[in-house]
Amino acid sequence: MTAVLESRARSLPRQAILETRGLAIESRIGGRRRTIVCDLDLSVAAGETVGVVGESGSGKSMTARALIGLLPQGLSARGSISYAGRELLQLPERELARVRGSEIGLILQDPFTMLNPLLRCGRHITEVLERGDARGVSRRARRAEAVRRLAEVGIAEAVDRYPFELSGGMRQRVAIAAALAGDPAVLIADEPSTALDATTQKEILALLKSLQEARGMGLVLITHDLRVAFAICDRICVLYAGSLLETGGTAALEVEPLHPYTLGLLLSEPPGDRRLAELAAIPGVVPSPDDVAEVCSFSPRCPWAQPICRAGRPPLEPVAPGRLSACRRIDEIRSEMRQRHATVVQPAPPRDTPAVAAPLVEVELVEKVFGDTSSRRVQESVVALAGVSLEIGPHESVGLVGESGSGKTTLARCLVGLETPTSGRISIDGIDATDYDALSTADRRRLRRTVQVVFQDPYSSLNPVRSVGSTLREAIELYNPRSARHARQVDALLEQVGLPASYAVRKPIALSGGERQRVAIARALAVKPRLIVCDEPVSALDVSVQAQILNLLSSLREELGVGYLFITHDLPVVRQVVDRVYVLYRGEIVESGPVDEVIGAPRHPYTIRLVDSMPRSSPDWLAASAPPGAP
Amino acid sequence: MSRQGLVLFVLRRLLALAILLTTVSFGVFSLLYLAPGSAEQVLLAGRPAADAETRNEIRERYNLNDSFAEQYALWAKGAVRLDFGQSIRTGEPVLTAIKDRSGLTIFLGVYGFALAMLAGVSLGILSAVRSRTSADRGIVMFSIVGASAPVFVTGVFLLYAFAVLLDLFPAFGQGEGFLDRFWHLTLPAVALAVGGSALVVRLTRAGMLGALEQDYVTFARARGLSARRVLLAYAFRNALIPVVTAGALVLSFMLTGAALVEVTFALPGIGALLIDSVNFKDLPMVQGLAMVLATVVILINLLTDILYLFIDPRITYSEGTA
Repeated sequence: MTAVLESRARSLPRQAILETRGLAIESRIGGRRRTIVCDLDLSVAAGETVGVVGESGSGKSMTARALIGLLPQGLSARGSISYAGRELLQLPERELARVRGSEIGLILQDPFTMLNPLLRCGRHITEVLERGDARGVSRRARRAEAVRRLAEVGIAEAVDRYPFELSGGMRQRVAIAAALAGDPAVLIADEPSTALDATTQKEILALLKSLQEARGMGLVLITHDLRVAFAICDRICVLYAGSLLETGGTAALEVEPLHPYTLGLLLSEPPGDRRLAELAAIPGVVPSPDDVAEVCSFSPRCPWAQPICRAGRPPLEPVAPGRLSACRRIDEIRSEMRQRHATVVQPAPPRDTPAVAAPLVEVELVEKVFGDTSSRRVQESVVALAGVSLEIGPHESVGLVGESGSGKTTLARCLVGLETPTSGRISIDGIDATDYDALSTADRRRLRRTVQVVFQDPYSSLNPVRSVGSTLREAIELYNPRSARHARQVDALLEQVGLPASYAVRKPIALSGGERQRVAIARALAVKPRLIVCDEPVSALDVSVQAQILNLLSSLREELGVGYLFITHDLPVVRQVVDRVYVLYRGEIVESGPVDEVIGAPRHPYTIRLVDSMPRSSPDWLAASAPPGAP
Repeated sequence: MSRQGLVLFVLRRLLALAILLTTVSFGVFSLLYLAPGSAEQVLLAGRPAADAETRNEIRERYNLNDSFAEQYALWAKGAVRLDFGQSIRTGEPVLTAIKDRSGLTIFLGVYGFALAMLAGVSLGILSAVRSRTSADRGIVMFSIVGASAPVFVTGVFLLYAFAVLLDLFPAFGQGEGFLDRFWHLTLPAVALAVGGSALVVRLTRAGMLGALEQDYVTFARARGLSARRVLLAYAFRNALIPVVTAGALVLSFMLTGAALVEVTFALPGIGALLIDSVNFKDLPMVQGLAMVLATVVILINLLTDILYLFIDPRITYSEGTA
């Protein structure tokens, strides 16, 4: 570790190429002024990778936009952003346009929306080459250059293809090539791998890192994922509610965070190599910057907060060589934090394997084919599930792991009757649940009381016009029409998921993402089900909130004995909540078994690749990249 | 989409066109048959005392004594050979009459269409780029007024303002030669264009506002592309589908609007011919006009669908969607 530290420290160049001083971003909509970011000092040097880590609401994306002078309408930046001695905030738009692309580049999060859907991939590159004085170059030479640029990101064959013909990872490669077409000295990457599958994420990060090194480029990586930042950054800046709480070299920061928020964020991340008894979630949600303008912005959620933390905003000050922290009490609490860091990551004792009993759910050789299955158009049909079999015991928690397109959501939808399998059999609690439409009303009701579902996106799974109370009351009444004590049951449900009873009168729009997901869980619990199908229930949430929800699911399981079918692409997450796991790849189960065995000693090549793609900070993680396209 | 697929698609659509035309012709034929009054009443209108023999002669000449089915069959037999019969009013072959009058209407329609699209698209882009400014609000206001003003009101207003008060344009006549005709048809074309351009403004503006918010626009600007290229190749091209749809509507509207405008400006085009023929219950002429107009509208729609293919590579017309 020290060797890594030293080599990274040595390679640290002195001169910052892009630097902000006291950067503030404000929005002004309808006369109301809101702070997005305040007093931000960032810098990146040539050949350096700087990570800006923050949750949603931290202002990280707007910072990225401000650095390249592309804030959305209604937002404005103050302070100083200097690039190679020039003050960007003073530059007129015409000159700023010349800086963009050729001095500072930007890539965005979503490869599916970043490219112009109507232009071929090669055109995205030639149009950058055509700017300014390069007009004399022939069309053929420009095309050859586009092919060369695409080859640099490993996808030369995409030159004549439209973006919609490519996968997400391939599109992100094209976007990177396009962003680098003007050979910028600094590249700002805003969550470049977040929208991608785990294995693709690793490929994209490895590509960015190698391009950065080969070109000696400065790279600003903006991410919510500390693990990703640890894996590829030289320095890390932790952004929270619009201001920096801590900065430091990656290795030192990972070993010992020097701000309670960084520690909390680090502990909220479920580790990939062990199961914890309980994740150290940070209570509450990210405040808006204006609500914490005059105090330490983390103090409302900090376990070490004292009155001194609320006496004015603490400045970012040196606390150790190369380390800055905005915690006033860091000297006092440093040893306590170190201790907490050490204890929380202790692995939990292995779970007792549940006694063998008749399975609650049996799935036998289920196939699902979408599209027209008639012989004439076989090529137009898509096989989502190709003969999947699995079992879930009563009170058991089972994981289903796979990437997008693996068929995991289709299986979930078949289980709860939202899709009907093309062939095969599903049996739940002794009832043949293969085709919900063919069931008697009584059987269907019994099934719905046995199995419930929680969806991925809490922003769209709750009816926005109904209050939380009426949503829950509806679920209760549907299965318990004679019960008269609905109000008390609603309160009890809210309490079970850790929400105050007063939330019953609120509409979903007044809740945060984590609170909405709690309501969705409460709605599933309303019928006292034996199994809850959780389809990526935490992937839309911030890390600290994700830990809260995972802890809630664990405690509900212990209190109520409810089992889960936990569907996810995230191995560390699944390790925390399930006993057994099935790995789904292209519609087939390729591996199954106790979760610790499958993740600890994967056997199938795909599982190995999946386990290998979990971000690790060791320097060989990105280097040991499997060739793209291998299973 | 493959070339072969495109050919198949067009063939299927042309078949649908034939079916649609049959339906339209039958519909128009029945409606005129059911409407009160008949050709001989119109022809003899000035001579109430016409004897039964004359009356019968006329009925024979126009096959009015045959049953409805026979009359329609007779008409259809001619129609497939592009013989739509003779006008009852003038005795001229229907197709010749339509051909003679269509030059003016096509000129007017294309002129009006060009004006509507030019004004609509440029104002729409301007208002999206300058959104939430007074220019934007002014353009939106114009589009509301333009969309709600009937063509004949706009027409009379333009006539009064520019022909009578300012005397910049002629109040009637269709002009000789291209330039003169251009000058004569400016006011009618503007009257026709106002309503359509209002529609185009709204759809262009909405499409542009949507496209300008997209990630690909931000990404294009982040790569230092010129404002012009971002606006045209990125935002406008992606907003083009609804604009083309609006264009097809506007072009179809030029046909129906022509009836009103030609009457308002006393121009002897297809629209005026249609109105005269309906008033006169000139069944062959109305039937012939209906066929021509329906064909044009259907072809405009087919053309639009083909145009979509060239705008957006993601669009394909697979079997069964035609």
